[in-house]
Amino acid sequence: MKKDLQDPKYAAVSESAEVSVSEPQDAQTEPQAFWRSIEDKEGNPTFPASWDYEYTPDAQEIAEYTNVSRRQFLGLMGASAALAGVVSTGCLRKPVERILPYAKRPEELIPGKPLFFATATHIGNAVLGLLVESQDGRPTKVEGNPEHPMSYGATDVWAQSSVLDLYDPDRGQFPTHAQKQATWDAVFQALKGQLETLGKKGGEGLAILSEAIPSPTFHDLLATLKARLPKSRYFCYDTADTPQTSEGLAMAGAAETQVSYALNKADVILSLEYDFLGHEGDSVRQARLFAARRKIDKQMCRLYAVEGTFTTTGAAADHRLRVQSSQVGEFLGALVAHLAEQKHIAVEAGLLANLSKRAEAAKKTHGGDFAKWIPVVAEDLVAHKGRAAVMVGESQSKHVHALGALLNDALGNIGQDKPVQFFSKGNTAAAGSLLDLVASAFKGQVQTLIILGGNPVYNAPADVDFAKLLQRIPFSLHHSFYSDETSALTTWYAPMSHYLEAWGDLRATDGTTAIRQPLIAPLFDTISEIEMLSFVAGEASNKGHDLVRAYWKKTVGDVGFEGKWRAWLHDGVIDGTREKVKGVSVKASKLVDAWGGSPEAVSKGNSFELRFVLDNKVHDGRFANNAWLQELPDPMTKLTWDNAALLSPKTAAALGVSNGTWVEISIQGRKAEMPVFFAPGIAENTIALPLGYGRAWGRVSKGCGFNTYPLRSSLTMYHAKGASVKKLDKENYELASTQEHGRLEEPITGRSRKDAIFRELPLAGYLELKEKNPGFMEDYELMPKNKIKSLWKEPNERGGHQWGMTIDLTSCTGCNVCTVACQAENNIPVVGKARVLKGREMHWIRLDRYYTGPVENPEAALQPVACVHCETAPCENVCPVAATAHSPEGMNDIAYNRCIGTRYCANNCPYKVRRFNYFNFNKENDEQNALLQMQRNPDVTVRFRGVIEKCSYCVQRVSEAKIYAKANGDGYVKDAYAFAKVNADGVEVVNATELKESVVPACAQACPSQAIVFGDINNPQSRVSQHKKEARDYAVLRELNIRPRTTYLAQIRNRNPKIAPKLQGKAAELLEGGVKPAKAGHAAHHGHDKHHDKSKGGQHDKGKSGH
Amino acid sequence: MAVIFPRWTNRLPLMLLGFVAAGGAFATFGVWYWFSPEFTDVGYAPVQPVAFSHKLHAGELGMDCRYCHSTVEKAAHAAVPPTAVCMGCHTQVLPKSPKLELVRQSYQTGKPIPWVRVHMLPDYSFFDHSVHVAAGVGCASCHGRIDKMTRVYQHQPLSMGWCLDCHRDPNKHLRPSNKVTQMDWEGSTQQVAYNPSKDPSRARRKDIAAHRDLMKKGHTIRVAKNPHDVVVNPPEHCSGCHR
Repeated sequence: MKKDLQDPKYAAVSESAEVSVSEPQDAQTEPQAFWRSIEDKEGNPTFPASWDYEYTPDAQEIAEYTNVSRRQFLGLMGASAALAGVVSTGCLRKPVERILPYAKRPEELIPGKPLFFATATHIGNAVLGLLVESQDGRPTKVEGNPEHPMSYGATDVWAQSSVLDLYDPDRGQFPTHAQKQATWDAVFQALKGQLETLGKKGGEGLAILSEAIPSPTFHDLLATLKARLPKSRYFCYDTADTPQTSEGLAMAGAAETQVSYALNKADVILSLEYDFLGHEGDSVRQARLFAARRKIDKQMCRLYAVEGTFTTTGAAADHRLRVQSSQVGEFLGALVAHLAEQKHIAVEAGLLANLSKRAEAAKKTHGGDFAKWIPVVAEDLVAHKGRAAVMVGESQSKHVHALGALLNDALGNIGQDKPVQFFSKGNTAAAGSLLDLVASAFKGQVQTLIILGGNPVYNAPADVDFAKLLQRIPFSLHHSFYSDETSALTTWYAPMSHYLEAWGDLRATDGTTAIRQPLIAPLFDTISEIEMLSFVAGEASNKGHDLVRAYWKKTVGDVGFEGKWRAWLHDGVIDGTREKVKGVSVKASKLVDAWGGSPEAVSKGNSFELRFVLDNKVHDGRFANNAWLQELPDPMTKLTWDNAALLSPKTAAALGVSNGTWVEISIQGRKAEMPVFFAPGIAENTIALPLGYGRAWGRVSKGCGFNTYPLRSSLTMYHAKGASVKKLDKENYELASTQEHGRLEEPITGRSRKDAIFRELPLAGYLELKEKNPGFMEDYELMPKNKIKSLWKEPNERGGHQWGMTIDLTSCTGCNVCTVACQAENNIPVVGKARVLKGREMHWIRLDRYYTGPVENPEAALQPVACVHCETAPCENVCPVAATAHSPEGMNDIAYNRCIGTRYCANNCPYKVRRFNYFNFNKENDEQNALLQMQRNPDVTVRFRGVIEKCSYCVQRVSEAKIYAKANGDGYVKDAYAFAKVNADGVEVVNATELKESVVPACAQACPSQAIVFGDINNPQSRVSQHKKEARDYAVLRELNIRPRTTYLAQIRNRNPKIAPKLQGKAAELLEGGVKPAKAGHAAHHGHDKHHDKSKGGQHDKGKSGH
Repeated sequence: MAVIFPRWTNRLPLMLLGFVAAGGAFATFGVWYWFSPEFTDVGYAPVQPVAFSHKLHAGELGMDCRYCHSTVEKAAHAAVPPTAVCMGCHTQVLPKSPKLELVRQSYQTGKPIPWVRVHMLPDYSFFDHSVHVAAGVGCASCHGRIDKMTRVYQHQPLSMGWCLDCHRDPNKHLRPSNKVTQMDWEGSTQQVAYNPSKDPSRARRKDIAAHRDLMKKGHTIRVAKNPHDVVVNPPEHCSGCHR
């Protein structure tokens, strides 16, 4: 023991405080590579003092919350104690419970056993095939349909949280006329009257405005309507729909097509502000295919991202170029010019001349990375001809989209078995735009307007005064899920069914069509958009089921239809609807003029560029009334319940603003006031404005954030130049960001803990290290393995199953779906903004976001953290009532009913993953929404006030699998990944809902990138065991010797050596520093050396022998 | 002067204290002992909306439990049968009996019969019938001689301690799988002769085999069991029943 104490390595820990005083940090070799916020990086001591407390001191809150004074409280306590006495003396028995069996039980239904039904949902034209869990007839949980190529079994946050919308008490429940409750009969009567009048003139004056509804039946009905009333017109407006993409493709000669990316075939990906891992395109499919190439053992792809805001796509990128949104197109232009000048691709002479001229000017303006990137990216694209993808995002103009298509074509990236695939546009009805509608309406050409879905009064461009337009239309009907801003101004409102209540069909980008099958009859008196349209179109039957069947009978014929229909419903996809990849020939002729002229101006000084972004949570506002999404921290800013004007720290400094400062943003005379929030990584002079907040309606959405639509005009839908920003003299707005919640004390040994918590290496360096020194992960540790001593006899539980998890940080895209999937599965309540500010959010999984690199242009790293199920869990030792205890299978259990709420466990948890029910959150949630109870998972206890909760490794799913295995199999739970199948697309899918003898927790099942893997670590063949054998597997906070069962696989970035950023922190030391021989001697001389574990890992023992 | 308080009263406070202490101890013991489910819950026999007699159906007519409680082998719940099951016989048998009025009504209207729950587990305990049946725990072991009950009553305390008693030493409550629903098995000569660990029909399951191998290798497992007697491996940790 004496020897240990004398050991400098040991001393460094025990006397760390002294060390930091006597020996200041060596800035050269010990920079903190990872930081959470600017305050964190710069060691700014202006954190609110309360953040340093484990729990915010807020005793007063009880009075605020219950309106009960201290005296009343004591009185009540006395009374309840007395009452408890009465009850416990046996005067009152337990309440009588009733069992209400079915009178006639439906076929295949076993009470208490969930059934899964295949259905589909969509946002704009992005369709997602789903399997939805039905618990005794109540839809409770959404999973992805493994058979559907847009899902492959995974989901996104919107699909996961959509089940909460179904039970939203704010949804439209009855029709209204002039804001007064009306009956459906009245609606149909009025509509019939209108149609009769209009019918005499061939439908002149009838306009239908809808969201993008990629439903073949819907479009067939539109055709029927057009045939019956030839002069009626159809318009489409959807913020999730991007006409510039199709216009760009049309410009390039690929009209009536849409693009789908097969990213598993791409070696090099260039994303031009295309947030394909966030909200753009078929993001779930894209994430899955991208992640398939982010596994280290396979050939890893390389992603370049050029963007103005900081998206999760940018965070996942190997290289990220920060330019203003308006400059992204210039980058592409310069890239194409460079490739053509170097004769790698052939470009029409006129276009080349224009591009070259522009590129010169742009390069001169930008210089730096912009100019440096072009030859490097060009070289990489050329080296991977036919295996690269250039993807252009919604923020870019049609010219850029067209040029992107041209480049893909020139590089041979388009076609079957290529990364870029074109499919024909399926939905045939010709649609006018919102502006066309406005023009006709102001000319008095619209007498009857039927709005199917959408909320144009709220989300129409600012230069379209939709409210005023509605005044000019004598008959307007809003048929939508919510009775919202638009419904308040139309003459009629009719409530729409939820997608889980209505029949339909949805066609995905590649043609794959799924029947949208309802799981429940409409909860309120609602009809679907198809049913409404069928009435307008004059169909005989207005039943969704009949309409969808009639359409498909017409399409595939009567023969054997019934069998086919049943197969479609079972599979969730209509066999044979997936289309063949379309050949396109890209033409440059129309591009010549478009790319003439000088480059887009760069915003500087007092001129700002606004960037309107669809929100990562509420999208365009359509999910604003969903409390799960509102409380979900944004993956990058970590903001909950609000949006803010996001700007870079440098821009903020120039404006003299800090987090929460109110500013007035004005552009072309339109103004909006909102607070600002620092978002490192955003281009200078850019202000990112998330859309979808500041609603005037909705119990949840009202009061959340700020409406940014008033700044967005039809000409500047995604980015606008020439805005000015004025600091307002108002008290700072309090934004609830979770980025500093659950902080760790640090540095503990003079080194930043974060560098050991999040580990990142370049691919080449990783492979080299792995070869030379497979145990190199040891070098990251703050405490060498042989120095770790236990206070007690270590448990030795290795029998039967031993559960464990790995999270692959290379694959994780930070989509947040794990957090919401967990919330839906585990009955996790929401707490509201005021309590998030106090650090009381209840999410079992949090997504930690670290920045790395310079403050102005950092990279970001995302790390999901839930309970890691330590083998020697510190929480268990401190529980006075043994409410949290270890299972023999290595799980850290909580018996909620045993918990008395001391919170010692949360206090002692180094990962800060335990959550406390400060109030009866679940009961509060139920009181606010009585329907919410229908969503609850009956297999998980609904927690009450005063108990701790945290990730249970989905113990209910583990138990189910074990029970199934014991009752029906050999008693042994199998590894789910052993049953994974590689489908025709070359994608591995796991049908978790069908594998009754295996466990896939909710987070892993929802994860589009399969970053989360759970299984039995006692089974050497299991996927999780395989992952844990990888050289890059590491345990967070290993120095505490608590042996977490959840380990992480280090993030590997596939750097291009030509533009690789300088290595930082430990990675720099490992790859550049090599062995530092001086250190061993140094350590021997100075008892307080902090660089104790820097001598090569694996050689510790040798190096130490001198002591 | 006469002594008002005789000498023995000096000991009064002490005696009082003693009585209070003894009384308190007794009261504590009383609550702990007599307020347990064994005393408060056992024997609970609520009146049901339909006077269904298990004695008649399961006892005299000898119907198997699973004829009505058909989900017992597949699900956590041994579901109370739908009215349709009752009517399967009672359209022919006693079709006009006034006692069955509610059953006929339920069948016609589709409204459930509001049976009163007898065996009430707290909501935080997740009991699963299927795995117990698969392990060979007899119905009568927990529910008692249902075949002798005119009105069903709770036969066992269903307390956590009672559950654990069996989970810790399950062997004596196990039977061959084809005897699970047999009501009079317990106490029979068959039962006395039966040793589950020697029953060839119980295939040695993999988890138990693995368990045993590891224990042979010297691994200590918190759930200490004699490896030679392990036939089933019921959980004894919190999450076995609480999720």
